[in-house]
Amino acid sequence: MGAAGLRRVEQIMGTPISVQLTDPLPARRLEELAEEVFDWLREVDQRFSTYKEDSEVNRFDRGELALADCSADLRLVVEACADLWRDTDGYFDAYATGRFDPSGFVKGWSVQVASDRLLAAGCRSHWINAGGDIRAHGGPRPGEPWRIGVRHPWQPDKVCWVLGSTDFAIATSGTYERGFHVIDPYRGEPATGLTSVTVVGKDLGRADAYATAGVAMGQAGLRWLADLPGYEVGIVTSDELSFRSDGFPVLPAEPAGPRPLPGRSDLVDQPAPRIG
Amino acid sequence: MRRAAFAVLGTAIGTALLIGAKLGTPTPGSGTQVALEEPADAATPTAGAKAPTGKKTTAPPKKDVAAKPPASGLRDGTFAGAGAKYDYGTIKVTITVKGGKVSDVDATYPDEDPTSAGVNENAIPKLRQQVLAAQSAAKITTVSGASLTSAAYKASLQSALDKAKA
Repeated sequence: MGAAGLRRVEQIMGTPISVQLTDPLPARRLEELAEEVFDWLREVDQRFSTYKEDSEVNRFDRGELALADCSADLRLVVEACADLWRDTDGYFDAYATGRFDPSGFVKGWSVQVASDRLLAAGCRSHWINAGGDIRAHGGPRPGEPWRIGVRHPWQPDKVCWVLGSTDFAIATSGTYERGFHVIDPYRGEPATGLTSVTVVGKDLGRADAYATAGVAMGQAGLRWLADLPGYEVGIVTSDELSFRSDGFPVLPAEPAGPRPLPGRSDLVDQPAPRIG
Repeated sequence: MRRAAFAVLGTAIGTALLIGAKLGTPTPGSGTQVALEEPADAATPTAGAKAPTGKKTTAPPKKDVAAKPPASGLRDGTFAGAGAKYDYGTIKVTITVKGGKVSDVDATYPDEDPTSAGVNENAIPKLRQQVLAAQSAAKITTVSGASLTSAAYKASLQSALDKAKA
């Protein structure tokens, strides 16, 4: 049963990246495909990390590399960040820290590219989760969607929604993770008001940028997020209200079964689901 | 405007009836429950009271003349229902009765705390307000959340899911 599926986790870009592939392909082929995903993400880290002195993004930022001489990927990222700055009324700002730092777009974009490549290689059932931002296709079994939780902001072991689809990107941005801030670029201070913003759509790079922009806007973000064309939203405000758009793909809550054990231990002890 | 208000009232009562039928007797403190309450001393409003007044043989005890229900069975005054919780939030319905007839219906979200009131006043028509749920993560494959650092990951739900299914 395990032979038809593969699951791996690696730390890249300073974040854990989990991958699951469930196509009925030979185990060795699935290994290869997973390795290609991680190779690509490591390459992105080398080229786009602002922490690596010699990365392409740093050389571009220091003016050592003209835009015309940059890779097609970097040019695409620069252009996408400019588009997103305009589309988010300036709340998604790759220059917010005083230098060009497209990290808020690169993570989602690179996972989107990895997922598109898996699809092109014939891998129709998979998901990639990079620090909470996910691109998913297919499901655990044919005709069954992936069940993906949105973390409850104040109860780390609980989810506030379970989403399901066979083709979607999910990005969540929020203020609840310790040490993690979204800066409102107009005030230069950490945004408050919206504790958790989840954006669902087809493109993970955009979804991620929209979620970050929504958080940066604070309460005003509610109205802006409600009007995003092609993207659905689920929002938790700092006063514990929750909002969602009509098309937000929530699955019905599971009927209450036997009382679960408190804490995370019940998850670890849970039998692994059948894969494939 | 009036018609919309009645539609809302109808929905709230419909929801109350549906859920009431499902649960039998509402259990206090349970997640979803609907209760439309009346003032304790209210005369029971009977829909379309048909009993011809002439046939009455025993007059009801005259406790309070002003409160005597007219033919419709509805007592004049303003009556607030309890906040009814359902999928899209909490709704509170108030009806005003004049001359034995419902003269006004008003459905509002309760605004107990000032911040919520702010949000509700600027109602966001395209979003549904819901009660914040805390569901078990028992049957999910993976979890979306605000950016995790490697350190935070170690203590996270995602880490537990990865361990459980690796």
